[in-house]
Amino acid sequence: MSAITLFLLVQAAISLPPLGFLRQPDGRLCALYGVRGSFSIGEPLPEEILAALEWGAARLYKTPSVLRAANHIHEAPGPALFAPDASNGLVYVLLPEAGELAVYSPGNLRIQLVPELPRHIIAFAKAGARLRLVTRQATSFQIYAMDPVTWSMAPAGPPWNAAAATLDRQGELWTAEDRLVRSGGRLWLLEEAVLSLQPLEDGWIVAETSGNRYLLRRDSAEEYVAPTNLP
Amino acid sequence: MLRPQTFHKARLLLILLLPATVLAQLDVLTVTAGEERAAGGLVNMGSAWTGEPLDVLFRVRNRGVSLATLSTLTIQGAGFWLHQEPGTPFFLAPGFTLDFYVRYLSEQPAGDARGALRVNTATITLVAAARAAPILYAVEEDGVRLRRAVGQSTVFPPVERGSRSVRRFLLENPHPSPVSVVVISVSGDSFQMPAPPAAPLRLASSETRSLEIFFQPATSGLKTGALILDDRRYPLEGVGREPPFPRPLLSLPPTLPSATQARIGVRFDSTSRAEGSGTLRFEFQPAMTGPDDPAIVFPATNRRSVSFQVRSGETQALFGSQTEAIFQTGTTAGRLRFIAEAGGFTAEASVTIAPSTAAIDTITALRGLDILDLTVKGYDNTRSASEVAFTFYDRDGQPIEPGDLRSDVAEKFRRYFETAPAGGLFALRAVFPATGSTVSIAAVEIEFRNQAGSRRSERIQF
Repeated sequence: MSAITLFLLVQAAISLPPLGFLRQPDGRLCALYGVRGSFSIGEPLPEEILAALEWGAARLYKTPSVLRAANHIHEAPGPALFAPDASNGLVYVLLPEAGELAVYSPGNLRIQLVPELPRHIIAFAKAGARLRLVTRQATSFQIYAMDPVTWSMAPAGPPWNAAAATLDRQGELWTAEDRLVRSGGRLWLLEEAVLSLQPLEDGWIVAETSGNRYLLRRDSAEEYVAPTNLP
Repeated sequence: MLRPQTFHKARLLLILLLPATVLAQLDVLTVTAGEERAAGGLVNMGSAWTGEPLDVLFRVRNRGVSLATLSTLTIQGAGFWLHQEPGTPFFLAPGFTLDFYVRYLSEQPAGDARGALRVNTATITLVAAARAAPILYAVEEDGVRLRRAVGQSTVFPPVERGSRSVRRFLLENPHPSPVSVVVISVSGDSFQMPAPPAAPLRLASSETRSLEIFFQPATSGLKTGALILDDRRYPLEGVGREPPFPRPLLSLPPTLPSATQARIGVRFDSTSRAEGSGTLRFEFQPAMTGPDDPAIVFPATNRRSVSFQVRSGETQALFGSQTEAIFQTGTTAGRLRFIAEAGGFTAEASVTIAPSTAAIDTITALRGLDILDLTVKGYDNTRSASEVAFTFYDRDGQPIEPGDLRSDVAEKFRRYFETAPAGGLFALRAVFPATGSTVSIAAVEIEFRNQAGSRRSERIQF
């Protein structure tokens, strides 16, 4: 037996957090719920929301002018990229147009200036002790590592060419070339060429093609089709 | 008996005795292409083919200021007829007109046929001619011959698109002299004359010649064309039908597990000759009461119906470019009843989503120094979870005190599933205070109990 002892306090809550938010054909973001093999689309968010994340009891979202994290409001233009960290409950929010990085913890939103952000950031995640981000220019991608204490940043490898790339919530790199999606040693061959990759929670990645949105996860060799609201 | 002079005097007297309005105020006109022309004493009606009517529109107008009476309207002469004539007497108000047709129809050739049209006291000489032409018959299947007139449609038996029906026609020269047809052709994309006679076609007296015309429409719908003999046009009509749809067939396994993206196709009982569309839909009968399961859909439409295409030459329906549609079994036990509908046919198949023990999809652990915050995501397709037990293990694989941490969760799950909008999905968050550091906690086994039984998960590392 181990030296520690655990007690079950109470079941704090039975709830249903979304896996993420997917943009529907009508242009609005909708929550995606589900487990492997069973997914459903929730109600749409207001039109002005560019990006959203539900994290614990808090919902974070970005409009064209404001970042809202629970009760905190921070004015910042442009889009936002969320990097939740399951190991400590923090959410890092990159605001590329403002050159800022916001760190949310329950009850607190801290803003940090990051003046040397590269341009064209398409992905952002926490990977171990570091933050990772990926930039894209045409078909050329570059991954960077950022120190979350000093905010110093450096390329974490040579640039590469692909059709699409992103980071999952664990900071692992996913790339796509034509119909082939790759992450680590895993490969998926989809029905159509991949146009974009987008991270969701629980390790899921959305691979968007011309005909479908596939849901991929490293622990599953099978790909799933995400429901899509018909206009 | 009156002599001519006396007769003229008597007639003059009669005219004087009649109201002046009756005689002098009626004009007799011919109308051609909307243009009126005074009929005068002679009207040349022109020339027609034998057996074909030649119609001229006449108009009588009351140009006076009082009521006029048309008391006489008669015609004389072989082949001349009044057509759509009014009965007499006919009263015409001032400014009003009366139209009727004079028809010339002759079965025999005539170079200078004469007739007389009488309107009250006025007599108009009618001149017409008839040129010799063969008679056209449509021959019925039983051999009966139906004479065809110019402008009169002949209807072909309806056929499926791409198939053919045939009608036979007969040209007969009823005249004592030979007749010739210079132009023999068929118009209309759906009509063909496979073996047209060499033109000009010369028919001796009493000679007949058979013509065969095919109706073979490439598409469905009403099709029109014409058999053209010189300047005579005999309309042809036919309807192209869509071939009947094949009967759809569905097959499914008797049971499927929850949380599955399964595939279903619609096969046909024979190779389709039809083109069209159908619908595949399904209904869900949950095994328990409660909110619907929104994951039980075709992901492509996020609905419980999807359309499919029926293509000629195919043995299966097409969903876009695929022969199968993906559907989700959701996370609620029950029965799915699929219905395929196409061309008036329906096919059904059902599959049972059997009740099962709760399943775990992911576990997220948040470690504090002396607390472990665990979120377990999974589904319970019976919506009846009643008990959960956690057993934690350290990095050496040893159980952590006190072993099984068991909790009654029946009421919490019951309240949750009463309103949960996502079938049997749930995310259970449990908090575990610890007497020592949580860093050494490496894995957990979780056991859920519901109406289908209890199942212990494999050891999950985190």
